[in-house]
Amino acid sequence: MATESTMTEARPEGKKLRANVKPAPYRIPQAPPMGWSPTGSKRREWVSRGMVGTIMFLQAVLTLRLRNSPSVGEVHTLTDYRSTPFIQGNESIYPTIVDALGITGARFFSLLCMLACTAMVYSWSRRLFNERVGLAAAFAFAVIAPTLVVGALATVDAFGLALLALATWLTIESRQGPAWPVFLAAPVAALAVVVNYSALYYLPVVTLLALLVSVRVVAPVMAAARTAPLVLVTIGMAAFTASVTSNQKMPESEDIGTLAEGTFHWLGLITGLALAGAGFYVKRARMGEVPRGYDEEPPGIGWRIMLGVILCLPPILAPVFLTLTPSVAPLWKPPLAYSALFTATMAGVGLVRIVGRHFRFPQWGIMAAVALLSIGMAQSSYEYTLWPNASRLAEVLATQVQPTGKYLASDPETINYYLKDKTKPTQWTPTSAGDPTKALKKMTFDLVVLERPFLSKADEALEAELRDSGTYRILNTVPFRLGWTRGTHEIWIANDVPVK
Amino acid sequence: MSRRLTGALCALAMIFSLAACGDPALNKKERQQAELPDITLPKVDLRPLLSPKVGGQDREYLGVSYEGSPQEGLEKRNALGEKSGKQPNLVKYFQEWGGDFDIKGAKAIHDAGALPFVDTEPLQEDLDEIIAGKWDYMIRAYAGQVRDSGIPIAYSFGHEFNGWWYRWGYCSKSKGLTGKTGDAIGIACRGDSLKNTPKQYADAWKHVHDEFEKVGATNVIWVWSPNAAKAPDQPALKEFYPGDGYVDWIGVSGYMRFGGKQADATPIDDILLGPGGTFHDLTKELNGFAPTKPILIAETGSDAVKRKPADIKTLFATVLKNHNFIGFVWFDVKKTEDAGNTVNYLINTSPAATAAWNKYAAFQKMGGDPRDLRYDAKAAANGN
Repeated sequence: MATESTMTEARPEGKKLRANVKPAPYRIPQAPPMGWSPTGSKRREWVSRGMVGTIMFLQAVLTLRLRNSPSVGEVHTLTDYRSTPFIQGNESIYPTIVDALGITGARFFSLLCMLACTAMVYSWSRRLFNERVGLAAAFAFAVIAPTLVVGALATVDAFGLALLALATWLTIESRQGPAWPVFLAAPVAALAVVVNYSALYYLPVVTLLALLVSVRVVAPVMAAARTAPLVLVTIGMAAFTASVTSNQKMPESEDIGTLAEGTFHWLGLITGLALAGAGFYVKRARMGEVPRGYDEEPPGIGWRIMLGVILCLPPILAPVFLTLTPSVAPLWKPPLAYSALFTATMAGVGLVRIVGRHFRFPQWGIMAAVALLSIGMAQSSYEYTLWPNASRLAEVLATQVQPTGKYLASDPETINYYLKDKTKPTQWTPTSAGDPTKALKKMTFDLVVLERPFLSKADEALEAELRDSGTYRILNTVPFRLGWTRGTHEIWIANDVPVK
Repeated sequence: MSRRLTGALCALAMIFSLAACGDPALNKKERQQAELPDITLPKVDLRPLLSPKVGGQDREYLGVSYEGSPQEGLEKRNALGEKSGKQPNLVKYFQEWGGDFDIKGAKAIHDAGALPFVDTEPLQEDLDEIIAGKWDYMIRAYAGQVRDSGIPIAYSFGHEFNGWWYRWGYCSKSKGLTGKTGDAIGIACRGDSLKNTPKQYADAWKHVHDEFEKVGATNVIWVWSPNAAKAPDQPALKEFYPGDGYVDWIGVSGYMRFGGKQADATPIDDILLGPGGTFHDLTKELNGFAPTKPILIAETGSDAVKRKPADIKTLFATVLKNHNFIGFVWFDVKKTEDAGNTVNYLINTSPAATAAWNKYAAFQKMGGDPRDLRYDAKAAANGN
């Protein structure tokens, strides 16, 4: 309500009103140059934090909706079930956590790590830009497939990502002046690489970010000095990783074409938004909602180009990094979360700029957000079915296996994990070992499990033998999904010669 | 310039927004097809039922068969059981292939302490159509109902396939047996049925079997049912056989006649397996390619002749004495055959026949609730 004083203030002084015009009972107050404060306030901070909390809640719900039994890679992380494959990182740190928590607990730990990543993406994007960009970046990161899948898997990726995100956050925290965060970032970054070797490829990004943010607050020489520990860590960890992995027998990664195509499918949208955001940002540091002088001086074009390049490059180089990152087939896509971690910030800028100043084109932002969310949901659901769900299979097997039985299976390790209380790993023989058809003829195995239609040539020969011999009979066929393909676990039991 | 740049950047974002288009994850049609139905897997271990004579068990199936619905059959079986003092533990009924599986009827039979045995007849479908997958939707629906029933059943597809009297049968130019030629020989010698080959029958069987497995209907005992009739130009039975992996029981079908004279009143020593007996040639042939498969006499009977009590005795003796025979199914029906003659296979056609049935059915090894069968793998491994 306008007060008397404001009414008076708003009335033009010295101007006589015409006799036949009565003064209006109110006066329009003078508009201030800005309707809102560009600087932060306690209330705005808490509103933003509440929104980040909502985004993280959404991320948790989207992650927890992914349901499947442990994948081969997850089972191998457990010390008791590790055979020839390997952990893409130190063999004591993360596996100790998984051994202690179990696979379900470790999956929850992964979710916490990924939620922490989202919070840090928000935090550093807010520091580099503003709250709006922070929220958009956190949303873009929280709903895409790599984030959701990594958060639902008990693998080293989530822990490595959280440590790398912490190193990045510390680096950008140093933007405010003190040097200790950027120095602390160095050991954290080193730990990230020790936990997961994939983090190594992203240390140059953290190092360059350290240099960029330092340059803004201190002299170039001092900035170089601040960055030096991260440079040393990057070189040191490269040497460390090379020495550790040189003797490891690693599975072959997918071909570069497949990797590039998959990366494009998974990160194409967020990268597109990031490239658009970088373009807008390079063109103009601010959207122009605020008259000049209300906030600090924006960085120069050179700095902006560098930041745009640093944050947009990871997804473009991701296929190259992936060729160097062996994975347990077919789950090679989740490590793309590393690239997304950095690109999300620039995608946040893109989203905010597409919406425009004063939310002029919210429809574009809503469309992009819905696309990110729906594609992320669909891709993560699909990815999470790329290994057969063995829980129903285990239920059926549990009624059949005996402590002294001998069993043959396409994938005995996962079954072993499920039946750990009922059978010993030595009771299970993989179908890939030797030529089990001879053993079948002698009825050495009491039970055989085959995965149809994903049979190797050896498995096909086995199935033909099982079918032709008539000495084994199907007990159950347990259906499962592998992507969009339906398969069945065939459980064959020895059908002792019925007629003698 | 500024507007052009803005437009270009927005266009760039839009182009990248199409990045996920080729991703198989977004293929809605395939996603719908891959959705797993919410099914309950049958928790049925068929081993005790498959081999009631091994694994520490020593039982024979005492089966009866009727025309009409499973419920009607069950009522007749119950009535027979009450009169004779021993309830048959297998009830066979006939059903047109492709309809619904009568879950209620089959469960009623199971709950009454008998194994439901459904003999399905593809009265309208050609074998080549079945092989080509034309009727897969029908097979899957039926198999899904079988799976959902959660009870063990015996199942036969197109019984007496080697005969010339069914649409799915094989046309043997059997002048010597029927005295007829051309269309008049039997239904298998008419129309599309003339295309039927033994291999087609075996392939159709495999196809139906595989579809059942895909759906998870593994609670099925597969009964391959040849008829004892043998025409001079009939192909070898082996050619109709889908393989040991597709068959659980061989369900032989044949009536106790001798030399084609069913009205013969003279008792015969071994009317089933003896020289010239109903299954003499058939079992010899079966022994050549499926020597380890249990044999169930899936359909038999004896007309209302003086010899009938002796036939009943022979039937019981055959399954009790021969280890590879696991029981029989008596076709307890009076009917008029295609030729116009009436045959009376009812058990109780005379007091002597009834007495013979009651006497031998009372044997401890005959019948017994299949749900009480317990299979001991160790005993089976030790040859018991």
